[in-house]
Amino acid sequence: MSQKARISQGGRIDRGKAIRFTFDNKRYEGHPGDTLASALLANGVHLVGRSFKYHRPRGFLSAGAEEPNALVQLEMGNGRSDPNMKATQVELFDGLVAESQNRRGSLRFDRTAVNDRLAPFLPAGFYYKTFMWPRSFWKNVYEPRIREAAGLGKAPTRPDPDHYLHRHVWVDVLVVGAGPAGIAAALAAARTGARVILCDEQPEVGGSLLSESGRNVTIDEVQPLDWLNRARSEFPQHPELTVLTRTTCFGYYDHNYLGLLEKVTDHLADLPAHLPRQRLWRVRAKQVVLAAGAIERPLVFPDNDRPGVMLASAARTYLNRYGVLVGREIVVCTNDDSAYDTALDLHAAGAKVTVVDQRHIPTGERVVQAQTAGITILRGNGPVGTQGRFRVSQVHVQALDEQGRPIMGRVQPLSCDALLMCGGWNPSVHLFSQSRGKVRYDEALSTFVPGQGQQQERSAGACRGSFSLEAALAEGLAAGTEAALAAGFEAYDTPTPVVTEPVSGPHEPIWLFEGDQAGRRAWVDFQNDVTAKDLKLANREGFRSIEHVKRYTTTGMATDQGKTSNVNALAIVAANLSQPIPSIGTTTFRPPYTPTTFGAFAGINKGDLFDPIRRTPMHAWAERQGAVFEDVGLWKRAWYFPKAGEDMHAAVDRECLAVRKSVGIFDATTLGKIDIQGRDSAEFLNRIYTNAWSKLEIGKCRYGLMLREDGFVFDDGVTTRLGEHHFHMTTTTGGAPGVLAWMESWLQTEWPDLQVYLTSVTEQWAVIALQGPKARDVLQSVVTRGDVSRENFPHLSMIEAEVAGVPARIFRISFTGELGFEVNVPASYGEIVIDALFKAGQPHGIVPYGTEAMHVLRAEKGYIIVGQETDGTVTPADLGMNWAVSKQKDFLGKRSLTRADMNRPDRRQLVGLQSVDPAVVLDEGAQIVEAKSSRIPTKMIGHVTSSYRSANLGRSFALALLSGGHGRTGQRLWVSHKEDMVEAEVTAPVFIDPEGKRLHG
Amino acid sequence: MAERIAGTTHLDLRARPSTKGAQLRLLERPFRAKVGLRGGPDVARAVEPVLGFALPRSVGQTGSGSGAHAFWIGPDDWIIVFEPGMEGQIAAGLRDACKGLHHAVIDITERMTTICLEGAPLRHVLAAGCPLDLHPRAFQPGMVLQSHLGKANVILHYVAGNADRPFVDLYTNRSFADYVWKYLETAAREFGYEIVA
Repeated sequence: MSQKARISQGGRIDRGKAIRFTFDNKRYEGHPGDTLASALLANGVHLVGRSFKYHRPRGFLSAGAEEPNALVQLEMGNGRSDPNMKATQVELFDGLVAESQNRRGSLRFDRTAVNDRLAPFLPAGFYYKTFMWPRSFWKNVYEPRIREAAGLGKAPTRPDPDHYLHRHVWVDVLVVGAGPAGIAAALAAARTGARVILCDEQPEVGGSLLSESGRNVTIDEVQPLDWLNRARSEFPQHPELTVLTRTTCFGYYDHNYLGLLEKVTDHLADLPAHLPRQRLWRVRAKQVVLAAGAIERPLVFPDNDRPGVMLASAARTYLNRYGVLVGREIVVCTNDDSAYDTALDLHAAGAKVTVVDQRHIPTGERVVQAQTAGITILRGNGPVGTQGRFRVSQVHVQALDEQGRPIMGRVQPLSCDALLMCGGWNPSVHLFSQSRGKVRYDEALSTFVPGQGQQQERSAGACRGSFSLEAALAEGLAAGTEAALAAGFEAYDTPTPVVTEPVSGPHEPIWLFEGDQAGRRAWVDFQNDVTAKDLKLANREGFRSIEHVKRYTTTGMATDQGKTSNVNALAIVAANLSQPIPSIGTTTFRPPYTPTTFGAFAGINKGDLFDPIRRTPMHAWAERQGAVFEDVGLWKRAWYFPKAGEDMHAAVDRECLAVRKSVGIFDATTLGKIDIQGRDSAEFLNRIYTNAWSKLEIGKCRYGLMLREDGFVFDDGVTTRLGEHHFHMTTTTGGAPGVLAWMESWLQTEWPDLQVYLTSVTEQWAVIALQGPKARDVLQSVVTRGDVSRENFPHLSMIEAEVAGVPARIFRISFTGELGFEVNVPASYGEIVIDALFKAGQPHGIVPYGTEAMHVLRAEKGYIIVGQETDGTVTPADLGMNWAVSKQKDFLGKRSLTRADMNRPDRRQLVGLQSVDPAVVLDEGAQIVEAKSSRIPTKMIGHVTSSYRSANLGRSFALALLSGGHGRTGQRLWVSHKEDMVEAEVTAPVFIDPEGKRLHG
Repeated sequence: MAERIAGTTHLDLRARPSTKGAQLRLLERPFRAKVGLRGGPDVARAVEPVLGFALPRSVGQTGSGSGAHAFWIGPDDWIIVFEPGMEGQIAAGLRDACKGLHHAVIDITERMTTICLEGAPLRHVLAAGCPLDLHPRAFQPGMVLQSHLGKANVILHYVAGNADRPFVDLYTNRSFADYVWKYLETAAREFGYEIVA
């Protein structure tokens, strides 16, 4: 019979509709409103997993986010596979396919289950102690096997097909948790008109109220669920209240910055393509109300991990919310009144219920109600063992003395098909702790509650240790009102709801039951398979700090972050060390509260949008010319332009030859450009550049070097005087933002007296370089205004002109050593102008060239590239560029140039290098040594910075930084090359036209 | 045939999927005139007669008049936008007005492009990548914000409209238009959008 554990009515499921799903290849049915866990339980399935280390059969411990056992892999096809999902949090949908994890073979016949019988040999620290040698075995033998045996789910292997979005949002009040406290807080805040977000991980708001049976509890004289409906109906009246369900607040960061993960489509069978799968809300909240509730503590006793052993509150949730009776014959072990609610509800639903209360004289009203209802109560007894392989069948309870110690021999077996436990409650202080709040131990509650906070937050209800419904509602109301007030809103008095509920008696914890049979294992951390014995061993081996005990035993370190285990572990360690619990300390909680998909963090920033792709206005033109592009920073730059059948070398050779023989055309748009205006512009340049600028005439250009304070070359470029107080600076492509920021920082912090304004104009201009002996002929035929003649437009000057009818600044500058022009036009006209120039160049054999040819051509002339010939340790003198360094004026970095080390004769200096075999192209970065065979360690005296094949030279050539290089011309040295060494001769770093005649052509 | 190249020309907006009548509308206005102005309070006073309106004096503010808008960028830094084609004339007028004062007038028309957004979903769409508060209480008509959308610097100008139908102009450097456009499309997918091209 299907769904044999489903009761006939009640709960928040829709019995009228069936949902089909598959677990471990078996088909089942559930209903809308079910989780995977409640549907499996409805079908009588308790065995759902194998434990991490011992591969013990495991069932559901909980009904919520704290679940350590029921981890499943969801397979949704199309590359969608999600490991380690908690079945208690997975909403059921039609066609859901889930697989259990961490088993070989089936769940019932897991071949790795032998680990459980090897348990005596697998204590805490086993791995550290055992797999020490041989060392080489760790990587190839031990680690793979251990991972396989103790694995979690399988990571998906295909690209994530879904899309994820972020949303930044600012609110006055963020309320985390939509239980009674959270709802009260959100409404109180929303009524003031504040911007409020109320978020809850569940598919509907209500929190603990959703698990209420309504017995003996009223709020404002109505049933809890009626109160909930009334509250929900108020939500739409507040336009600034946003209620986010299926939304977990996973992180609380500095400055009231919180992360929420909204699962937008995870619960749907058919995914609407337009919706993101999940949305990461990045919230800035003026005020935060934490109403995260509490998590029930398991009891620690031997064999407390069998399927069918679960938290008392979970059984209540399964019954009242999902209409599932987790057993027919149920034993409830408790030391707290709250479990009596479960006992009463289960009893009313027809189960045979026995309560085993550790307390000798429990006094709460619920105890009396249970007694009146005819429920058997064994007082002063505790659980000391269980039976049942795949589902609990028996619990052994033992009488306890006044101190809570088992009395020898007084054990009795109780048969059962579900064993519920309640060891009290732990407030969910996770987010409070993440916010850097300090938790405080509360003796009466035997647990940690929020203490001193650090941020603009307040806790309300169970997460503050206030476990009654009345307190939750009152504190929620107060917290919401206070938060809105603190956020600057005017609150008005809302009367506190009147609640009737049973009065609780005191909670009396016993942290560990060992019973008569010493040495039985009692689980503390279910997910990481840590037992009380392991904690004892760690303490015995000298680990006293809770942080060390945690790491040695791994307790609390699983993906559940010890939600059910931390406090129990602390208490047991405290007992082992005979210290009070607060002195053991507590652990700090870190985000995320529950595991969060990487995809959600990545959000939109993937694929095309991983980084901006910047294109110049001539990109399409270059594409039409067959360009292959390379990435330079975020830019796409034309690298080379292969013709049919050409490889890169052939294309670059052809491009380089054309530039020296006729003319080449090149897109130089990406060069950084900075407009400099103001009375002190020339003085500013004097300080920024190594050379002098005051006397530069209007319309003239000059090359400049920039140093950092340490005297090392930082950027270079050509700057042009456009007017008396107006300059146009160019920088390297990659250096542009850095140079602007560097100059701004000097202006703003050190030289505020200088009247200078800087503006980036990199993107204002499209820049087309025409280079080669025929460059003027081409340009002349397209210039519609302006004189570009040899006489009137000399090297290193600029004119305002018109090219192809477009206003242009033409600079006569060259990075190739040839006659050259750089035509600057407003960016959007770039394609029009390059088209016109290219057409005009056809009779002259014009050739488009790319960045690779540009690199070769400039290196043939010994022109440096900052970042290639320099690496942040190179001075102008090292580069042989003292001609660009003024002796008279001061400039940034000047003082550093006088340091003794800067003038060492053996500094690495820029030289040319030619391999003796002209066919060998040296590797860039290759090291240079004096002799082919020398003693190791060999002294390395330099390295190759640029190296190319040159069609113009008919051989290879290189630039290098070489120790004392300026004095080594003609020397033959050795350069590492592949696995070998090759011989190379030191030359001057200029290979073509050393006199510079061609520039002035 | 060569034409003026805008930031999104290569995307061929006309051919991209678009939902006619969607609440959210997107278009690029690449050639709106933009002039950068730097200077102190003396410069601000001097240009007022040329512009016909006062320059904004604090963060988030704009000044507007006869189709022109001035954005506060920094204490001595403004961007002034006009109808396309007016950049030369305006820049010349501003330079004249500032003669003798420490100032900079610079045509940045081609440096930046404008992507216009219209319709209520635009706040949520921009909030996918912009960390500032775009709520109607915080971001109101006539305001300007400097921020980023993902990895692109943007200026957001709330031109006109109301919370139900806002008009916002997004300014970004031209080579980032490709990124911003695709970013907006991806973030707007859940709402649907009409491309006006």
